[in-house]
Amino acid sequence: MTTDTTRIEQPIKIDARPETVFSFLTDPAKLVMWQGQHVAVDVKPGGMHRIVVREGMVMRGEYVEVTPSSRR
Amino acid sequence: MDTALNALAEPRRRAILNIVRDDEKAAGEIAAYFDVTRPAISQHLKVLKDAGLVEERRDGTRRLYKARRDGLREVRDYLETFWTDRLLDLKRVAEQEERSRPT
Repeated sequence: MTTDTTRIEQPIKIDARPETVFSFLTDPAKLVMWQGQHVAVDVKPGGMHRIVVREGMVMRGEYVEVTPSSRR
Repeated sequence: MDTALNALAEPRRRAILNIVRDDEKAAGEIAAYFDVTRPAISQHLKVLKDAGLVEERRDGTRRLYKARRDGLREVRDYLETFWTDRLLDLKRVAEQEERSRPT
């Protein structure tokens, strides 16, 4: 069976220090400011990511790699 | 769009979509890929059809299924826009905090 390799890549330039941006990717209080209404995250490789985007729409995922304040 | 996203939320339905992505296949052929009952597969196909993700064609007594490119593209466009909007929000809040930080 084929594996779905569909991916979405979107570059964006943010005028802020990497540490600032990283905190918005990892701190639940900051994640809700741009990703949704409620978030539960376990920020480490293999950790789960669950976010209620809006009522009736939940996004789930798993962290593959977590590297603080780095471009990649 | 919620109908399509819900249809895609089930792993087996995503697997079915992969199977019929490029080739039209009969319901029986699709069912042979899975270790579940034929009615279960028929139900999945109905959900995919109702969501506009596959199209159904009858050939005598057989029902043939194929992925609907337009349906998949709509989902992809939706997700692209979704992430563009989210990232613009991220940019806004991160730059706001950066500007307000004590120097």
